[in-house]
Amino acid sequence: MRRSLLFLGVLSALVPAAAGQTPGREVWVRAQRYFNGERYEGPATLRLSGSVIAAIDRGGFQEAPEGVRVIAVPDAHVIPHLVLAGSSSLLRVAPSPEGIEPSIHAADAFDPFADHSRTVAEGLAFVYLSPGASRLVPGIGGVANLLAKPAAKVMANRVALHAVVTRSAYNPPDIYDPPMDPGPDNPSPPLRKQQPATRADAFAALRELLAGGEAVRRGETPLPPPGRGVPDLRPVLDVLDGRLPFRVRAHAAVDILAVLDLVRPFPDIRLIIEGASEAEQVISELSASGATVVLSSGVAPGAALPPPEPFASEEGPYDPRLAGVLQRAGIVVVLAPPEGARPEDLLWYAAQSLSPDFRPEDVLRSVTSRAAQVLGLDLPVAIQEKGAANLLVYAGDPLAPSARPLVVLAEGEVVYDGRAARRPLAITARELHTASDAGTIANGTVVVVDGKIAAVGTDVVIPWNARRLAVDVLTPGFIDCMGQAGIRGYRDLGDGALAMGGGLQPQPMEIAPSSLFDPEFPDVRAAALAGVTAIGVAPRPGRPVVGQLSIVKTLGSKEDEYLIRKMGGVVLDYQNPPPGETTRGALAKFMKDGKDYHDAWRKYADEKAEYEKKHPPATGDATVGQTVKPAPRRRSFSDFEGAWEGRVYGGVVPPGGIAVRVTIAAIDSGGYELTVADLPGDAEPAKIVMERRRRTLSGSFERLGVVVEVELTVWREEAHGTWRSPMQQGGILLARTGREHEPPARGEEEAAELPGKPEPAEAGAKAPEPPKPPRLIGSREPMREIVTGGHPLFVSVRDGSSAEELIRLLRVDYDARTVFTSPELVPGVLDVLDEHSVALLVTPASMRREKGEWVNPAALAVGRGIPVVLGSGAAGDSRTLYQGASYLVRFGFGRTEALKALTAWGAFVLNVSDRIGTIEVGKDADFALIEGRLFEPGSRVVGSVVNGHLAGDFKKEAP
Amino acid sequence: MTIPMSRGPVAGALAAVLLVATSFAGAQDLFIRGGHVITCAGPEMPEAHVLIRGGRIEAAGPDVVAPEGVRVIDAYGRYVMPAFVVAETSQGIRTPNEIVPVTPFVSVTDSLDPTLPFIEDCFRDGHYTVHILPGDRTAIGGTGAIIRPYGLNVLDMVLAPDSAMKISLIPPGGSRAAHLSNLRRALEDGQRYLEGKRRDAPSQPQTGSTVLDLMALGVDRRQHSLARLLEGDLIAFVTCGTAGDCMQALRLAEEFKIKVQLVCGPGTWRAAEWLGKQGVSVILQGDLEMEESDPDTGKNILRVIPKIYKDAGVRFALTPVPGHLGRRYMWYQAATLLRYGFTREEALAAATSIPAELIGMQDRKGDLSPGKDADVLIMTADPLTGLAWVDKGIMAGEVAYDRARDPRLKEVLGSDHK
Repeated sequence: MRRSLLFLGVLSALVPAAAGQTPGREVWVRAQRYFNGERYEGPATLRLSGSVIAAIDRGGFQEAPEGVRVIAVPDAHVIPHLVLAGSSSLLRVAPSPEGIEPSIHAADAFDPFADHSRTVAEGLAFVYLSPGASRLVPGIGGVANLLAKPAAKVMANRVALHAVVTRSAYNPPDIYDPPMDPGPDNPSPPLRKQQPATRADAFAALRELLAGGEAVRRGETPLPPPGRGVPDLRPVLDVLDGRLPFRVRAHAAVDILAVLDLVRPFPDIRLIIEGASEAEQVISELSASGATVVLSSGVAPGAALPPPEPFASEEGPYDPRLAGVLQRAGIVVVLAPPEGARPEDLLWYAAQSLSPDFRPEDVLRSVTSRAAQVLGLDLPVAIQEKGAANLLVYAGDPLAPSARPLVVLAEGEVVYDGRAARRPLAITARELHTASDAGTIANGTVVVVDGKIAAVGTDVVIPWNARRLAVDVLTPGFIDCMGQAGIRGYRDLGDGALAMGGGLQPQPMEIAPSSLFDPEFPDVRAAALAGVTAIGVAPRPGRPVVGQLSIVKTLGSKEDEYLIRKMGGVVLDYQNPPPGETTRGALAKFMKDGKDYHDAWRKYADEKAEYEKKHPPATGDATVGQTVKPAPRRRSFSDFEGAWEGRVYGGVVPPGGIAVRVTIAAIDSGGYELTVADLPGDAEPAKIVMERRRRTLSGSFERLGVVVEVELTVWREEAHGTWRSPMQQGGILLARTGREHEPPARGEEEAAELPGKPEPAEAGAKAPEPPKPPRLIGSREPMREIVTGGHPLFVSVRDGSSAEELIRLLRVDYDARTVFTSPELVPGVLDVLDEHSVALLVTPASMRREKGEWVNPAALAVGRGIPVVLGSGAAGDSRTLYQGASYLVRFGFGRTEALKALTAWGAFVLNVSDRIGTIEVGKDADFALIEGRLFEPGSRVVGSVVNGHLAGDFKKEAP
Repeated sequence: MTIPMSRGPVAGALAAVLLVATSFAGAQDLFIRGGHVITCAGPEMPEAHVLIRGGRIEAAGPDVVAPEGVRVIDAYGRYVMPAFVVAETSQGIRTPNEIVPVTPFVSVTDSLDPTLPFIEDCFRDGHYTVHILPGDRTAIGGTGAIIRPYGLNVLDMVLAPDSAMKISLIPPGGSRAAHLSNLRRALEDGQRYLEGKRRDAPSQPQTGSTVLDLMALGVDRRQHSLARLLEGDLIAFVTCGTAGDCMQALRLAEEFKIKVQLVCGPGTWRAAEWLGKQGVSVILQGDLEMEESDPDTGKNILRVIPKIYKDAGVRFALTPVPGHLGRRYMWYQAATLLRYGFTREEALAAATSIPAELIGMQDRKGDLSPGKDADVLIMTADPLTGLAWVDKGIMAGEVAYDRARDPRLKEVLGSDHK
């Protein structure tokens, strides 16, 4: 859990921290204690300038001048970046087949382009690259600097020649060396055996290697050209000269002694013993040899420990006192995590070696300055004046078990800020427009905790670790009541250029636009940057019932982050009625069906509640003597028959599809006959004879000389299918109609006649049937929300008379919350809007000039007390919402009203006032951040906050 | 559409039919009339003509007039464009990988097999200049050759023998460090050989026999190509599997003073920015998209390789993916680029002029400017819509392929296919 939080922190913290900082900027780090490479000092202020520590002010903390970023963490312990001097799992070098291969460079296997930001965020910057531990001489180690750019990440590729004398290097694979494919004339060559198989063998091979090098060094033999089975002796010559350290992995005391014996004839060799768990037994010999020890500190979780005495022990158990004991004997000790451990846990493992002889400073030295010394590199691992500004800031003791760096600075730049992830946010604005009763607060501050508004006002307590921003104007996030941002689709502009799609066509009522919404689509991000935090996504008008409207936010990748409401309203349009119907008729039918459907469900809910009150549902197992009534058996085939209605879409069919009525009837041949009325171009209904396979009917018919194949899968209340002609294809969606007027389906009749019909449990005590739920119709489900939930209907019309007709229908007959979306009919419709309390949706393009006069629908409507909301519309762009509102203000729309139209009224109309629309404690932290004065020329939206997350570029971050 | 491929006598016979049917025609002057001409060297011309004389492009434009007696090919409603250039492939040879890791002395001209279905498909797919190199599993794989898929024998087909040395940085056994160590050792061996040869070179023997002369000069046939590489006489095509490989390749080039051309797999995308700063052009190999999983969120991230390279300012050539439905065609690969926001010119250049330049054939191939080899495709539709097929293919002024008379298509689709 802790780690996942930290990783979240990395994600959210890395980017803004790195992007927000300008190079060369001054940063002050307030350190209670800081480690200068040898010991702790402090308290002090570390003044960083560019990539170096310009000065260290010891004593108390001073006030920082303007423009200096201060990093202040309670009980700050500041240490340099860590050096991992031992072999690690950060780089796994696959072993070469050869047992002795001194010319392999571990750094060759290191990919400098891999993403190491997480390792850096945990404080590890300099990593030894080991060639592996499963061959006698696996190669040469290197060092990587994870803070550097890819081209400079490998700092050194020749740091030490490795030898491994532990059991893991025994028995390397035999080498198969084919000159060509084996065949009948060319039998397989014998495998080349390799050393070592035993300890004696291992040391014999090493001795031979060193002796061979020595002979070349003295000029007794020429340098043999390396080849198969002939090792490259050049690295060995460097080892003999002392130019390259000789790093031998050995655990057992007997191995360590043998290694000391091995190098004794060569006084120039710089020996490093890696592992060394039994070093205590040979402490005097080690001390006399001057060798350095890289100790495996701690035990990796789940590691297989060596067998206990009296069984053979090679590695020996880890002894936490060992580091102290070795140090007291004058041996230079460096700590590294054990085999199989996570390299990022270096400091945690190193802390296992704490003892009276190995103090915290010793631990820190052994993973910073000493480690650098052992690697023979001058690494920037000490905090001192004019030193590199590579700092790890901990809140408290870095050796505490749960300690992790809170802030990581590399070359003066914050590369990780762990405070940001769970940090509260405090935004102070010269004008804080709450859009609520609190009005505008001058120099107000809003505090955000966990994505919700925690406090608003001038005198609020700002948490110590809050991220602080300063803006000119802060308003609630803008709400685009009707837009199309985030709906996928591209349009080809020719010449290979692409543009965003032409908008969402009218959709079947079952489809919520949120299922087509992609929060990562570029225009959503752009809308967020323009201050829009919530959008009502809807199809564009084009037929009487256009589809659902969903309410989404403009930031977030998961549905629970960005989705406010899937079914947030329904869009209607007074045009293009289906064939044979009038628009009014179609809409009246839609509303009536919806109301009936809603009433049927409400009736069922009431009956069910009544029934359950009288017959509480059994909670336990059936009691003795009770007869459990089996569910009536049903046969499925009767489901097919009856009357259906729905739509055919795709191919040549116009957008929105063609409405069809279909009757399915069984015929004598055993198949079914499908009669389709309303097909275009012909008054004759089409008859299709279809074959049945399980739930699927398939058949074909000919129309205008074209054979169309139809396949339909039928469920109880719905049927889905496809149609296909040689050139075109599309879909079919049907739902049952008028079933309540049908005689009982044949299957039910038969079910009643089936033998084994259950008897009532007790004669006389015949329990009434529980109420049956009405059948579920996907296309009418949204209407239940409209009638009970108070979700809005968005309506557009073409002329004033139909506006009145429609509004009367919706408001008088059904009392539905209605938003009028044809601002071009203002002022003619204002009376009817006012009379029936209908809100008006205005798009940024609604301003127009009529007979020489400017007509501002928003101003006119507000003047009559009609609430106005803003939307970008089917053809508009959410990004223009703020500019559009400014333009309406230019032509007489009041500023307060304009702001409310952008925020609070939008939330009210969409019925989401409980979450968004105003800046009040407890609501979602959705804000628009504005530079300049609200709605005035030159003012500009600089970004937004959505659910407490920032979107945009914030220069004015308070220190 | 897939064309089932089976190796064996049928394939051989069919290829032979194709070859024989076309080779009797001989180079002649041609006039391609009225097509939508894409020269890849200037703006597209919706209705223009192309005149071919002596196997070369003489002129292309709306005002070009057909000389008397010249054979006219009607291309109204068709698209006329230069043939595609494949900058790197290991198809067309039998057993592309040696079992020994270092074989600089191997040449693909010895294993080129004109009866392979790949060669036949090149006609059909419009790939008329193909750079064939040994496979990726050998550290130093030998020399490649630039061929055209046309001719009665291998020598006829080869446009440039010993075109490049193949080096692969993808370790076959997984040990990257050991693989590089082997590679370095082989190059050092070559350097030693070169030094020895320079030191011990006798004074110009003239025995009249090449073999004896070479022996006298101390030329080791097995080291000869490697020596050419180290002398800067040959370029190395280096296959890179990871971003780190790209850096290693340029380091090797610097260390051993050799010329390299990077062939980059999808895993190299992280190096794109760095490669952009180095100013190199690359050949993209394999998938153009790659999905990675974010280690923290587990969310899949789609990496669009060409887009990343384009944004980093790296010019690249596309290659087909053998055996893949769709991606085996260069036009499909180019059409894919449109989806990533490339312009038509950029998409077509990545399949024609840039690969021609990267294999050193920019003077002869890659576009329809006057003087270039007349390798011309007449496509049934716009090649960047993904709906196009090669209707007629003209190779060095000869009609080398005619879809209406393609025996394999007749066999697969019946005789009345369109």
